[in-house]
Amino acid sequence: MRIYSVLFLSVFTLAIYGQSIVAKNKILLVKEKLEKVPPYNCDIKVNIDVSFINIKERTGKMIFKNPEDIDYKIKGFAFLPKNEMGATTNDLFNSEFIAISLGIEEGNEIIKVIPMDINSEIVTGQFWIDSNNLISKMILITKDKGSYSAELNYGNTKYDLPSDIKIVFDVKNQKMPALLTGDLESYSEEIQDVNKVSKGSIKIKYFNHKF
Amino acid sequence: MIQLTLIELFKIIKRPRTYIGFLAIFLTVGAMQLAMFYEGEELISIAIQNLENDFRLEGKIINTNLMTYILLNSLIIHIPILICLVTGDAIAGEASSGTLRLILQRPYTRNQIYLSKALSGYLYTISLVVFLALMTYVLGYFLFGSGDLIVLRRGVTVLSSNDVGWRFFFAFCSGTLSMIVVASLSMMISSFVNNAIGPIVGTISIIIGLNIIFTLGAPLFKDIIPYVFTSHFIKWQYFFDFEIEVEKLKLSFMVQLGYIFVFNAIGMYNFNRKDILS
Repeated sequence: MRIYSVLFLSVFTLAIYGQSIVAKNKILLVKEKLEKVPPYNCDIKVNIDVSFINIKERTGKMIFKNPEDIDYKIKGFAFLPKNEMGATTNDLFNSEFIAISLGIEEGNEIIKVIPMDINSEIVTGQFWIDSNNLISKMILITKDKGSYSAELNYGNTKYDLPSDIKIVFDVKNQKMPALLTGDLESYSEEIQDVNKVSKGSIKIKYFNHKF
Repeated sequence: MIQLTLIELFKIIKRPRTYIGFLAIFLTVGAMQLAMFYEGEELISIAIQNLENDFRLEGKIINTNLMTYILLNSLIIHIPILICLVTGDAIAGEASSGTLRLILQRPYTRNQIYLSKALSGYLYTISLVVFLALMTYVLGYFLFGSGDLIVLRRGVTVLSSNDVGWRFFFAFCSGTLSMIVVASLSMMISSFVNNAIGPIVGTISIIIGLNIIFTLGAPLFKDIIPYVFTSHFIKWQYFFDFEIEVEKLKLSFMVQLGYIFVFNAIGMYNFNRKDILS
């Protein structure tokens, strides 16, 4: 009985370890693909959907040098995601991490990535990776800034760059002091729950890539 | 009537105190714009620090549109003071200097004289608001350039630079109407007293008092606030909403016209019955 138990545990551990290696290799393939992207620029359209922000679609240009160095030239003023998804995933993939495969969903392999560094800003990430080793969806849980998820769609762009991305994130309600905004009428309104966290989203379309 | 109004305008132009308002606007707007030019980024970052925590903000926040929007808030207290300096003096000033009796000897009715003084006061008011608009926009344009306007009212509204011109036009029109209410009030008080200080201090006291009462006591008075004239001094802000509440603006327009009519009617009634003893 004891021998069987030890044998079972050993086989189970090896299977998990093997699965982890396969998942990690898949993530490394994704990382390799991301690293092969040369500097480029493209036109973008930005749409934001946050309860307390009113803004029309913004257009502009994105200049990509590397995942850590992305510059935007927007006509007018725009709100963009605080953390670049590329930069965030790059940070995660470049550190030591454990990858665990969680199965297949609609043709995408779900892989959970946990950084080894206890001080890492990202607590955990979950990636939906398609048969072309492209991220089609990801959810990142951060230490201080809540969670955010992204859905990516791909066109026929070189280097398999996304044609559009939708980032959904946690955002706190904002209430500016009336004396600062001049909105003295807000004194007669009910006070909204300032600390209430709701979901906001930003959609970015990328087109006219020039490498 | 036109002749009388022109005479009243001539008197306003000749009085040194007329230029105090323009000088005050010139200095205030100049100082404010220069302060924003050097320290603006830090000041604005205090207002938007929560946004900066959640978003990457791309684009120039401080521009002539934002400066004009900020300085339009001076319509609440500062500009009314400058208007009262002239309109409050219109009847009471003449009564204290003894020239009112001379004017009333002319073959004009008291109503005509009152209305000509009111009209010239309104023209002064309009010129003061136009000067404020030109000073803020033109000086702001040279210092900061143009750009999208960020309005921190009921959340955050971002308006494209090509979508703000008409909004500012109507905002200044709305502000001018509010200032004409102030001019009418000070004219009315001016008809009751023989000392020019009274209408100036009286009007300002009423405006400050009503602002304090209905701002701090807003939840208590929320049903009557839409009918208090001081609450309409900030209605110009409605033109910078993403979806403009036309009905509220119409109500504001009607209420303010009502106040102008009532203040003038009371002023004229009192002026007609007034004993001119000095």
